[in-house]
Amino acid sequence: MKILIWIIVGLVIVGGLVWFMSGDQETGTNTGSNDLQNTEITESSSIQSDEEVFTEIDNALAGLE
Amino acid sequence: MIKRVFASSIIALIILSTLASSAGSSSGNAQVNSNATANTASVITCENTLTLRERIKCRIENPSVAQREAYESVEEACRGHANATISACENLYRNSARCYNEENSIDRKKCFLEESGVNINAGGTFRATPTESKRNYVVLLLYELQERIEGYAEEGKITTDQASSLITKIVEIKRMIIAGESRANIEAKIIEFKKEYRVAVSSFIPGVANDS
Repeated sequence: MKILIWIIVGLVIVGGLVWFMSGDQETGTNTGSNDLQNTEITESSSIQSDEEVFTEIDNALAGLE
Repeated sequence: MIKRVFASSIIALIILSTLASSAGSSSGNAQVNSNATANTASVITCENTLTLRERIKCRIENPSVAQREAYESVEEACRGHANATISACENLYRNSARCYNEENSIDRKKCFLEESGVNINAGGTFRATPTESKRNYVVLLLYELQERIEGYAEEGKITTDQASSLITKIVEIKRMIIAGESRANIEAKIIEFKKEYRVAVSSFIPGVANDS
């Protein structure tokens, strides 16, 4: 009987941890994709001036993990 | 009598000044020529200099050596990595060389995207691109800046010291990217580079604030 109670307690703790960790990860993913939506590289944007090259580098770096 | 003395002293003065000026100019030219000969004769390779910055400065000052070593030596940014990484890095440089001949900046950019493995044209987005391709794309953009800085040095807009310092930083950033270093580390180094770049170009590129 005692063993069964310990198994249930263990499962609750592990389940809680898994739920907590997945929630954290989801928040991180959302923040990341919002960043990337603002900095998406497109074929049509220019790299004529040096400053435009810098902007392109910043945008591309924002897409790195 | 006085007239004769006056005339002969004028003639003597003219002869002496002509001799002096010709002697001066000939020795000056000889010195410049011998220096030029010494420069071209002494620099056969930039590979035997110890530091990255010295090698870069040597190549800026000796374009013919730089051109030859571009084909014979391993690209600076590709050095110091594992063999497979060096090979991939050299392939990226070799395959993207054609992009730098594109006159139109948008065509050049399309070429960079293509050669780095980013396939936006096929309906994909940059977000969905593998990390390695994104890193390759940043490397090619940095090389574009490097070429421009070399151009500014050739045109005399910046000094060779400024150019070699800026290009050294670019190569260090490219090495970090190729080595897979974290985005935070790369960005910190880029901020440092931008500050130095803006100071160097603020005198001839309008709108570049040298305090940022």
